[in-house]
Order: sequence, then C-alpha cells, then structure tokens
Amino acid sequence: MLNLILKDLLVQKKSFIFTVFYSTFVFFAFSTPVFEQTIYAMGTIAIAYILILTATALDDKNRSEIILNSLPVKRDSIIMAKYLSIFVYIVVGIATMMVVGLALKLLGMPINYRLVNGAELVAILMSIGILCSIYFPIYYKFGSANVRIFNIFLFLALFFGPVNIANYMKKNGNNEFITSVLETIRNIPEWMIMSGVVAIVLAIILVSMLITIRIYRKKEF
Amino acid sequence: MENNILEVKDLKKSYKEFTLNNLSFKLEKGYIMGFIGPNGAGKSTTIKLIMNLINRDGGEISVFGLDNIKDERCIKQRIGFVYDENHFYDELSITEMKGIIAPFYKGWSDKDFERYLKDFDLPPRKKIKELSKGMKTKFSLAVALSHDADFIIMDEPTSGLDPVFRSEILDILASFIQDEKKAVLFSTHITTDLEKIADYITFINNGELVFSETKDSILENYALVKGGKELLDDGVRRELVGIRENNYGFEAVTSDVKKFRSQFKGDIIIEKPTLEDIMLYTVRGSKNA
Repeated sequence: MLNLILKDLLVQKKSFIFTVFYSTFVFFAFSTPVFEQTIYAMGTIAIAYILILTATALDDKNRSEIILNSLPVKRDSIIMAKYLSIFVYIVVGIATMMVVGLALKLLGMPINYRLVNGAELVAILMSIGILCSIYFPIYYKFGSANVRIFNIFLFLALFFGPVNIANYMKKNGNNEFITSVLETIRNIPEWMIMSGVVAIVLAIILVSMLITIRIYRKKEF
Repeated sequence: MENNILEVKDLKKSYKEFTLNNLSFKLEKGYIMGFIGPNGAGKSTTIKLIMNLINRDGGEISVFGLDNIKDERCIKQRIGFVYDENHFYDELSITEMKGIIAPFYKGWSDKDFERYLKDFDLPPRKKIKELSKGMKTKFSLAVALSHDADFIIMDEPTSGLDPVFRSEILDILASFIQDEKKAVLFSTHITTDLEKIADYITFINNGELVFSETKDSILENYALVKGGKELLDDGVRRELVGIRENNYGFEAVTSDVKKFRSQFKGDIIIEKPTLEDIMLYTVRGSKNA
C-alpha cells in the first residue's frame, strides 16, 4: 500500500515545482486582512487537489492500471492507497505552504506568516475529503476524459460556494429560520462543531471508498 | 507435484461482437507455447483473462494449480508479463520505474535486473518516453525476468520489432526455459518466431480453439496440397481447408496428410507447410464455411 502511495508522489515529481510557485502566488495575492485567517486553507486545498488529480491523470494517460493490476497487488489495495493518499497530499500541501511562507518571510517579503490554525485544518480536510469522495467514484467508473468537465464545476462550486452561501445569509440575516440556525450553531462549543465536521467528513470518505472499491473490483482493463 | 503451469478450461467471455467460446488448453512446465491466431481471434482477451484484468463469464483458469482469481496475488508473484504496448509512466527513467515495481515482488533481484540492463544495452537513466519500441519491450522483459518468475506471459511482444531484436528475445526465452520448472506463453501473429522456439502451438480463430498440440505433430500432420483443378472433386474437397482456386489449379491445407496420401493418388503435390500456411488456410476456410 505504501508502495502505491509513494508511486503517486514519484510519478509527478515535476508537479512539486508548481506547488512552490503556486504557494508563492497565494502568499502575494492573498496577504490581505480579508484572507488573514484562511490563507493556508486556500493554498493547501488547491495544491492537494491538483496533485490528487494529476496522479489519476497520469495513471490514465499511460494506462498504467494495466501494469498495476498485473502486479501482485489486490484491487482493493489500489483504491485504499488512493484514499489514504488524500491525507498525504494534505500534509504535502500544508508543508509546502509553511516552508514557502517561512522562506518568503526570511527573505523579508511583506507577507502574513503564522502557523496553520485549527479552523483551516478542518476546512482543508472538509474540502479535499468531499471533493475526492465525489471525484474518485466517478473517475473510476467513467474514466478521466469524462470527469474533466465535471471536475471544473465541482471545484468552482466548492471554491465559490461557501462565499456565496455566506453572502446569501448576510443579505437574508433577518430571515427567522437562518437566524435560529445561526443562533443554535453559536451556542455549540467550537471544538464540538469541529469534531462533528471531522467525523462526518471521515464517514463520507469511508463510504465513498467502499463504493469505489465495488466499482473497481468489476472494472475491466 | 502439479505438472501444469497453466490450465484453461471451458473459458468464456462475451462482448457485443465477439465471444470467446469454451476455450480449453494446458501448458506443462518446461515448455514454450506459441499462442497464435489472426487479429481479433481472442488472444489478448485470453491473456487478460489469465491476468484477471477482465472478468470471465464462465470456465476456469488455474496457474501453478491455483485459481487465478482466488489466489491472484500469490500467482502473480511468480508471473512475469510483457505486453504489446508500454504502460509504464513515460516521464520516469528506467531506474525510477524499476523502483516502483520492485517492492511488489518478494523475489526481486536488483543484481539480475542490472545484468539484463547491461545485456540489453538499456541506459538506466533514460526516460521511458525516450526509449524505442524495442527498448521498451526489452525493459518489460528485464522486469519480467528479474523476480524469479516461473511463468512468463507475453502478448505480442515481437510485433513492431525488427528481426534482430526479435531473435534476441527468442534467445533469452530459450535460455529461460532451460530451467525445466518454468514455462512461457507467447502470443504472436509472427509465426516464424514460433517455428524456432515453440514446443506447443495453440491456435484460436474467432474465439474458438482450432488446435493445441505440439509443434512437431502439427507440422507432421498438416500439409500444403497443390494440384490441377480437375483433381478437385467432392472427396478431395472434404479433406481440405481454405481451398484457393484459380484458372490453373488449387492450393489448400489438409490436417491429416497420411489419410490424404492414402486416399488420393495422382498429380497432387504435397508440401511441408509453415505455421503461417496453416493459419492462413484455416482462417480462410472458416470464413468460407
């Protein structure tokens, strides 16, 4: 299993140059008070998701699943490795942001540098977890050509969705239902909300993995 | 001790426009089997079924006496595979790609692999995408031979390669088979390669088995028959397949040359066929039928 995860990192070693550029860009573009609390989430989500997509795109381009499935490895393990790699890419994304941020700070660049915060971690796990939970079953069922368009929409929805929902809530702040929901949420301690979100996301990832394993067992190469 | 390296029994697989129908054959250890048939006959389908890359609709496949699905991982430890096309990650170098594959095999030997790289003139740092088709096939073969496999499966490994490369690959297989515990299944439509090294020939056409026998008995029993048109009566026709007629005479193949010789005298020329003759005439015969 570890072999499979390492393989996905090795095949796209060139992508890591991109992640350095991208995180530099994020620091320069979003080092403003508005994004103060979310800059790590913004960088990491994009980096992790792009690396995950690149790994599957390379499998697809070289039709390497024919090789993988000819090796002494179970089909279930191939899928489990993909899902486990979600966490690896999150770590890679955060590490890239932290290291690049530190380097820029040491170079004396005017950026906000701090440690990644808990809310960001939850947001990253939630976004990447949900994106992958939708992406993997569809990719393994239909192949990468067919998921490309779908992917763009999915990414945009998750990128802009939360902002628009927040705006909608602000505009309709007097709506009784919304006020009561917000009021209820406000009364729940933050740690409880966060652990609830983490638990739900992990459950979604697990269910998605079981579905993808079923799809992959029947797949023909 | 299990004597069969591979046993295929009543294997079935249906697609919309093609059916592999009740295919059965076996391969004992110590032998090279050539697997022949025209394009679309079902050779790759059979190999994919053996490798469990596609799901069978019926029948059984056992490798080393074990079920190819139930004991898949254990079997694949001992199989080396070479496919028609390259499915390696083309941005990686030979050494990097080896680094990905090697950990999957318990019996992997870097020493063997490096020896093959040298023998095959493969530069370890070269990227896969920079390799020629022949070099890619050699790389696949080096991987297939470096983990102490007992069974080598090759799907059209020599297609698109020049005669020098092909002959090198044949030499390697011949030395591999010196160890009598091993076996090779080799699909190809270049039948001259098989005349050199195969012990058994399994011939399929249109998803059906035509024969699976030793090469020597095939070449003994089959014959290429030529003669004047006037000789071609109903009795003669019954004994021939894939008859080709022109204004002057006919050419065909018989699968039982002794019987043919005893029944038909006269100005009929009987020649030793090549595997290609046998394949061509049989395929033509089945089309006309």
